[in-house]
Amino acid sequence: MSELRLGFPGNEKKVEVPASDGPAPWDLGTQLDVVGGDHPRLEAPLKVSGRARYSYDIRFPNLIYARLLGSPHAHAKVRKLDLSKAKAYPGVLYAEDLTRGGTVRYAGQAVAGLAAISEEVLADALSLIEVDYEVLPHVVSVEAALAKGAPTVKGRGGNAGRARVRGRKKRVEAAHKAADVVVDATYRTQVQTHSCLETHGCVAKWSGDQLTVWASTQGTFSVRRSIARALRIPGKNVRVITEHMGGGFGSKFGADVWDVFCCKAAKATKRPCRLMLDRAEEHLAGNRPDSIQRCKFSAKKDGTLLGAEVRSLGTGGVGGGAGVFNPGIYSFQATYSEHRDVATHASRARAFRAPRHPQGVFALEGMLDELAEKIGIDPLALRLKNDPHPVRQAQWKRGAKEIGWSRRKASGSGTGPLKRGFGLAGARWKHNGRPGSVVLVRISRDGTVEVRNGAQDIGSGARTLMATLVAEELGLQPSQIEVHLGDTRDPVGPASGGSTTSPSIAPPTREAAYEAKKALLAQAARALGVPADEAKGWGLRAGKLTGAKKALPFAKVCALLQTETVEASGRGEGSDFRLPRFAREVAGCQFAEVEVDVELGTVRVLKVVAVQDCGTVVNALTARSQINGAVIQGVSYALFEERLLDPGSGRQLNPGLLGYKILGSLDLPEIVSIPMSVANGITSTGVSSLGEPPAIPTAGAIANAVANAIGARVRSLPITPDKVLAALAAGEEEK
Amino acid sequence: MSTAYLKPASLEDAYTARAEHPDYVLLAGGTDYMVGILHRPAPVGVIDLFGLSALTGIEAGEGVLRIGAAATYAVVLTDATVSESFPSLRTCVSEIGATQIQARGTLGGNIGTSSPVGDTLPVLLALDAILELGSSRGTRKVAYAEFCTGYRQTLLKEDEVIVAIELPLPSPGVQFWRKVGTRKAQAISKVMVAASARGSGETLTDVRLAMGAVADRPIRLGAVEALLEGQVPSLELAEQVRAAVADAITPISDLRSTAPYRLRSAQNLAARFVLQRVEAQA
Repeated sequence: MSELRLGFPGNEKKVEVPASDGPAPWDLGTQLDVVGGDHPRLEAPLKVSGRARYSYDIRFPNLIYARLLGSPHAHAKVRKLDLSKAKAYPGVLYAEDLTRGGTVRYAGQAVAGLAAISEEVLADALSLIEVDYEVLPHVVSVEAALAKGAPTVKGRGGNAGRARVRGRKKRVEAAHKAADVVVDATYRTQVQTHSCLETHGCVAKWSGDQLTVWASTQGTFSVRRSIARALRIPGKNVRVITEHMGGGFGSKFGADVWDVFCCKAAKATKRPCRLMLDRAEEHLAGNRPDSIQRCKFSAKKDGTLLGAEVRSLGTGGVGGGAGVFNPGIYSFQATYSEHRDVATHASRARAFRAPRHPQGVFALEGMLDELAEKIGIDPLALRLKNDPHPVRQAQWKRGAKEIGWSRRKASGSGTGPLKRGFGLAGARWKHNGRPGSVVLVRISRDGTVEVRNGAQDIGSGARTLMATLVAEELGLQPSQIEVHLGDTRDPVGPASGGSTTSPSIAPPTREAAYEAKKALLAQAARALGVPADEAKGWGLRAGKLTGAKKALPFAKVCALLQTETVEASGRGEGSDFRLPRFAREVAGCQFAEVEVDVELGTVRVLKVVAVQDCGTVVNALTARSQINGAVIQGVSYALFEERLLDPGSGRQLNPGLLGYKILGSLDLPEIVSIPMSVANGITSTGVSSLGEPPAIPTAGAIANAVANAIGARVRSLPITPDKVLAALAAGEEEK
Repeated sequence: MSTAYLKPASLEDAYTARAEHPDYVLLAGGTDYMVGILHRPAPVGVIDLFGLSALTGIEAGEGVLRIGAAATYAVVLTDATVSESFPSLRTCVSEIGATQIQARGTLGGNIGTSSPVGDTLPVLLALDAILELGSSRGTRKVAYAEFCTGYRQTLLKEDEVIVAIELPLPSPGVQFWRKVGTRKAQAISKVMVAASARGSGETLTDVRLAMGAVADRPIRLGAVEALLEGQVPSLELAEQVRAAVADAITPISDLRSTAPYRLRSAQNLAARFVLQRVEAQA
């Protein structure tokens, strides 16, 4: 047995763990040389100079192009689809009817695909496809879908799905009865599209029965599997490459209808084929579902939270996946929640950076602030009183200090047209590392170190993370390590979902480096004629051999190899993920300071402070980047983004970035990102999830800051100027 | 079908091309044309006036600043007279699009497109701009206040080209410009208000108040101007302005905003024009 010191300075916990023959787990007592430092992304020079090749950039001399034709109707039966004119158009090489089943259930749903020698030919030929539609009635909003006599989206039954119920109604009702204060309010959130900078799609190229796909994906192996299944070929015949990718956020896990079409077109024409969606199509390829949350929360006068009751609806279009993380985070005496997914004639929702959480936390934290307002207690004090998480307890205090929470005044008390406000919100996420990844580390006689894994870097900086872990183990700098990612010919790796990539890949990376080091030192000892027993205490640190008579530089140690290389695989086995945990979840919180123009209703977010636990911080620079990115997306969600569907036609009214506004650089607040290193246990590296949790609290914190500024509450996202003025006007009337 | 392209080398050539091809589109910086290219039918042809030297100069003359119709926003921003005498125009132009758009966009293009949400148009109304229109038949001058006749409709004749915009000097001592968009920059405006006044002491005279995105064309609010004329700014006057704006405009709801919001923010911005003077005097 050995002892591990978990937690963080100020809150430490000692646990006993069985000794293992793998690398000793890092804890609070470990002295780390490169882990935790600021390391620029290894691929940064490629990216900033335009040399990084994204799937979008892959071209071949005889490349052909493919596109799908979308239905103009939100709900229609395809009576007849005639491809003959399009096929006869000069330059068209391949065409396919995609109307399986014959019914389209959302505007833009693919009905046919074409491949041609150029994008111009494609554009012309697509207009020659003749489709005879029998247009059927449609519904694109939750309200319309629930109205009496509404057309049904999924055949039989109504549009409302079965209720997902948690908790007991009676208990929460009893809790409300004992309360001094009860708040009853309805919160709404909008549909947000992923808007990945690089749209979805791929380039496919066959060589005999071997298929190579350059996919823009967050799951190289999941694309390999789904393409093989769709084409009915063995997975080993499919190679998926994603060297760099321009964003996925949960929308790019498997092969889509367009990817499969692209592969088929390439096969049929024996030419490489490219199909990347345009922006309007990208808006159809997944979204964060909307929500309507009817909440009833109660508390005692002293701020003790009692009951939380939430009834929610949301639409994932023709798919599911709606729902809200509400209630949560805080200790209530009793909770009850009931959610129904409502089907509509809209494109399918997909996982989106912390699915269910941002929309739920927006309402949850709004409700808490409404309670605080009614009780007359500071919102921060209310959190501290009811937050059971030991890490977040420390984070609230740290964040409050950083934003200057003491400057917060009573809601709506400012004078003049520009009013300042402060708000906060919390987040939780699971430690989501998973076993099953394999990492190869190869040290060559010339002193070079390679690391290989077939997973993609979704943008978190996975290469640099792996290089840093290997560098720590080998006593080198991250820039000395060459990392190869994004090729399914290399060992298996995780799909980037649930913020699993770093926590899943870190343990096998460290293990592989550890084993390769052992092999290297064993050969070096043999070459130097040092008995194995004597070489047991040898190590590598600061570029040199340690513990030996001579502190040989790393390159000299490698030169002693009798074999060309030493290689080791780290396997992320289940046992690697079973260390005791400091806390069950990762914790985070954010504070926002805003300025609201009460004449125009415009909101300026001045500053966001984000304190986020992510277990061991491997690379502080990319960790801050992750948090910055999440906050940026969160501000955009809070104030700007909204997919608008036309009730009349069922089509998107703002397809493309001209109408679908994402925040611009001038709308950016000052962001103070504080990755908080917590020795969480979990695995030998203690690395935990980071990609999603900081995307959770931003909108909630901003909404609370706006309410504090203007003394009226906007319970609907995005917080647009018209809603701010309407809330102010409603507040005036109440007075 | 392809689009014909003409690039006149001189103003005379431009007039000739225009007379010969009245169905061709006049192209200045192309910032609107290029956005539309994906979803509007291609025109029969274009006459490209961008960079035509006769249209790109800016000169301060006797009682007037003359800005060539094809002078880019970037050039307008560097002009000393614009900076000194027309701060409302300068601010407005500096907030259009981003650097790339400012390097292409022109006042003449904005006027010719005549969108109800053209950013510079309310400012030109408030500054009492005069347009110089030219053709093979000669040139004529039209007050910009008369120029827009309906939704994207103007007095520009089939053979005419917008040559220059004249702004009277000395400029109004009081100038005001504010726009609200979905985000801080690179967004089509939800509402725009431009205003100007001359004044001796505290009294407002020669008041012009113009708005964009609240009607089918950029408009001046005559009734509100009349209300302000000869008045000393005060809190009460600001309230009266709010009421008068409500009587003067009937904005619509669309993708970018709602009618109630447009009305409320237009009222508040017009009132702000007055309140700004009150605060300046306080």
